[in-house]
Amino acid sequence: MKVHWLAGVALALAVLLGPECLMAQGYRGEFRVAGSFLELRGLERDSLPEGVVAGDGIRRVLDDGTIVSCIPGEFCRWFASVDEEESISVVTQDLSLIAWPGIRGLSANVHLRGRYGTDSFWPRSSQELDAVTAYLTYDRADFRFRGGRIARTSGLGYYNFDGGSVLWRGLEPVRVEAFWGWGLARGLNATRDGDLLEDADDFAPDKRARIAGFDVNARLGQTVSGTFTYQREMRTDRAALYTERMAFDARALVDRVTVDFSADYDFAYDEFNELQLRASAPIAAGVRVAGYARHYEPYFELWTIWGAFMPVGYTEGGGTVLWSVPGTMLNLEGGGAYRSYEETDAGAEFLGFEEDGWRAHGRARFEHRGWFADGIYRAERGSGAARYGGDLTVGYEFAPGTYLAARGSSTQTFSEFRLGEQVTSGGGVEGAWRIGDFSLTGSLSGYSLSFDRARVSDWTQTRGHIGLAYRFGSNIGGGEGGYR
Amino acid sequence: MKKSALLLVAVLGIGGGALFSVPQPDRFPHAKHAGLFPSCEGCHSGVTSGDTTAVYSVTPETCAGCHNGTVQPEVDWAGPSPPASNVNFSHAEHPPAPCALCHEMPDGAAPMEIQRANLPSCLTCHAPGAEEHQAAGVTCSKCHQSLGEATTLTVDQIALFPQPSDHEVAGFLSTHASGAAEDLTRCAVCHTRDSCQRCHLNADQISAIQDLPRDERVASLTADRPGRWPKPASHGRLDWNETHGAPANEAIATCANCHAQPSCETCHGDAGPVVIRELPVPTSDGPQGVMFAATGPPGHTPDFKTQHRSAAVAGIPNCSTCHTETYCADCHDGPSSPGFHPVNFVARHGAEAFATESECSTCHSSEAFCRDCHEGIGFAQGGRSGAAYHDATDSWLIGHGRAARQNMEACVTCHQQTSCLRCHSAKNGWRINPHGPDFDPDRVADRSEMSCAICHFASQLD
Repeated sequence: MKVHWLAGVALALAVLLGPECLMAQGYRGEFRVAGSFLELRGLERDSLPEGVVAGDGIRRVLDDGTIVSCIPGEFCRWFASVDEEESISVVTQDLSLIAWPGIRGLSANVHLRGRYGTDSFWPRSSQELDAVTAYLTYDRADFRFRGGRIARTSGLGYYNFDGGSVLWRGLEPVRVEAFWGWGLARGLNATRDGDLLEDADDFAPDKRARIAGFDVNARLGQTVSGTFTYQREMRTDRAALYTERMAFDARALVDRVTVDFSADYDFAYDEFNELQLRASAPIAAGVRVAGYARHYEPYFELWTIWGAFMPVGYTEGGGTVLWSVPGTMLNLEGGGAYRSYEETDAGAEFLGFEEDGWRAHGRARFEHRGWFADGIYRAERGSGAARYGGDLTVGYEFAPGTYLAARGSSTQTFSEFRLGEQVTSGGGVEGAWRIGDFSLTGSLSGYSLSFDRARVSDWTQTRGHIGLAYRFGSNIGGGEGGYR
Repeated sequence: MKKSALLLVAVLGIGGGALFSVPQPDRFPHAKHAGLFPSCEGCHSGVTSGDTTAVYSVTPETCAGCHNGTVQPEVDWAGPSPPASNVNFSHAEHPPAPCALCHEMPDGAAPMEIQRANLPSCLTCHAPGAEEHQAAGVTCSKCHQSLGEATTLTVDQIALFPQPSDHEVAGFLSTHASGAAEDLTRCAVCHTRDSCQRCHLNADQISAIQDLPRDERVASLTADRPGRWPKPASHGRLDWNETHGAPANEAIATCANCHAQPSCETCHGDAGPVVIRELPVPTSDGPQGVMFAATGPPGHTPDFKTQHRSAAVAGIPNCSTCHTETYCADCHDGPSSPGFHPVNFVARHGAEAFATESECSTCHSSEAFCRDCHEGIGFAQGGRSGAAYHDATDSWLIGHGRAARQNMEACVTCHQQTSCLRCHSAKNGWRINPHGPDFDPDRVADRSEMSCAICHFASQLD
């Protein structure tokens, strides 16, 4: 079992704080254990010598209908499902604890996660213990100090790092927060020079990152607020930057209209990765509309070469209408969007790849005396793939947090760069049972795939999940309320 | 006017009858004794003398003077019992007035055809100009005792109390506090604390309500009646969900008139804003306050699950009022339990990943999450050319640049950098330039010359 050194620190912190917590002014936490299993068949590449395959050209068809790609003088290759199903099981354990040890303004926050799995194809299922967060906070008057493994959310996303931050509120309604430390890879909660990236890429970084940056937030009353964020991550040997970005986010409540603006900018490639203006407003009793315009460019860290390929983004506009039918518990929702990709300047127009895309969805939710039904249909088509399909869930809620439901779904998928049309259909049951501070969740489902090609991926699969959560403490909070 | 008069008669007939007097079956048969008694004072000497014991001076013994079985048949009349009434009236204290002024008799009536006190005659002096005796502005307590004092009234009698016309005006429930503050004694004629507690969850915090007595009779009448909580005009605003936080923080006591903690917890959960804890906690046998069918937390637009970035960063609404920081980690930091994506998401996630409606890399490492799985399941075969996966076109290798520029994030989920370097590297590859027209090498090199060095020798960078 691999135990990261920070997890050890976090454990020590938990042990040290543990007895203190028992006597603390307040504490609350949650313990969760969740297990999942999945059975499906993977893919393997197969081949025949080019000379034994009848026909000419790159694409040929075998006698059984299998489409193969041939390189003259070499091999004809294709992908097909392996004969045997693989099965994996993953168990995760989470312990989150926040405690106020009795010193005014001081609190401790720990979130530990253990993973125990079959270490098969499912990502991050190897056995390890990880500290998602483990930090102390001292919050007094105009300042808030925080140190440890900190989770930060900003316009640039969700980042964890080992270090400290200082928040200053001396110029209310302006707040300034500065942070620094050793950064962790985004979406990974692990160092960039660790095994996870090293195993995944031949050019993975060999040095950790130092992270530094600041936020400035300014509010205008209760209805207007904006936050500017600057953040950079540098190799610990100072030889290069991994990232240098900034973001600006604002929200304004103007009369009945909620206006959101988001932007984030990459200094290295001089590009706005996200520019979005979104507005939402109730226009009549029970009716709310939202519309947006967005420009998106993918973003890559500087330890990769992907950004230098100058990937292009798209510009999109869309909207949503939500209608809560008066006097009923029926919610109807509909929406759509259209996007257009930028010119790639890569030539090969003759291939006729998609240059624009659209998506639409309709949804209906209904609740009556414990019964609920939720149906959604989505259609989207764009560069790379298209899909059309829907889900329907029908269930009964016996009490808040306790329900049983059946779910069915069917999705038709087209891949632009790969031949064939596949339909994935299936269903299952799911449920939850809350007894006091305990809650038990579970689901079991099966999906089958039909593909209009021979000997290719059989995506038929069986899935199961079971989870147990226990909340404890003086003020058990999870923000669930009565809102499903 | 005629209409008003009719209304007046009707109200007086029904309401006045209930409030001012209660029919007494044991009334003295005045008409039968007409002519026997020349004046009222003979039997009711106390009315004018002020001797309260002599208001009704006729006793059974007085009757027996004639009804002795000889002169007249014996009668079994026990004399008048005190009327059950909340009328706050004393003949002795009232300025002298002719009896007929109040107990007027109809035209042509016999001399002792006595009527009950006539209410309009009271209004003549006590509420000049009032069209009916329960009208707004009429000081009830001038003539009536409070309900707590009117101990002789029965539950049934109280149940027949008429409703003043101003109580029927639209919006009365929302504005009655000012009337109560101005003249609580008017309220007290018909109401006790039990009346208010039927709706007011914060009854113990409101001094006006606390000034009213408790009364078992009213409690029995209100026990099975649900509270009524009219929707204030402010709550009807379409942005009320988004903006109610500020007024709630400023005057939570006002909210407490109708709302208990469970009202707010419907959306805010049990870790909501601290101010919610100032709201009352309903008892099992008391009013529960306004309860909502949850329509979604305030500020959470329909697509909030995927579009909450600016709200979370700008802090409107303040996430921490309902959510702990762990709540963010549940989704953003490699979910440990299903929730964000539907359970069948993996089987169909390809199209959504291509569309990047939500940026996958916000939560998932393209290399250590997506690629790890794609390699394990067999999709990614090291990115070898001629691997046959992209078989939609014979010219894939020639045309892949366009697809790659549009979907670079998807490429990365299967291909390592070495896949591309085979052709695009200026070191060991075929030196095919992958840079687009807007590429600024100096800008990138200023920040990470090491990334340039993956494809270029140092000498090529000068």
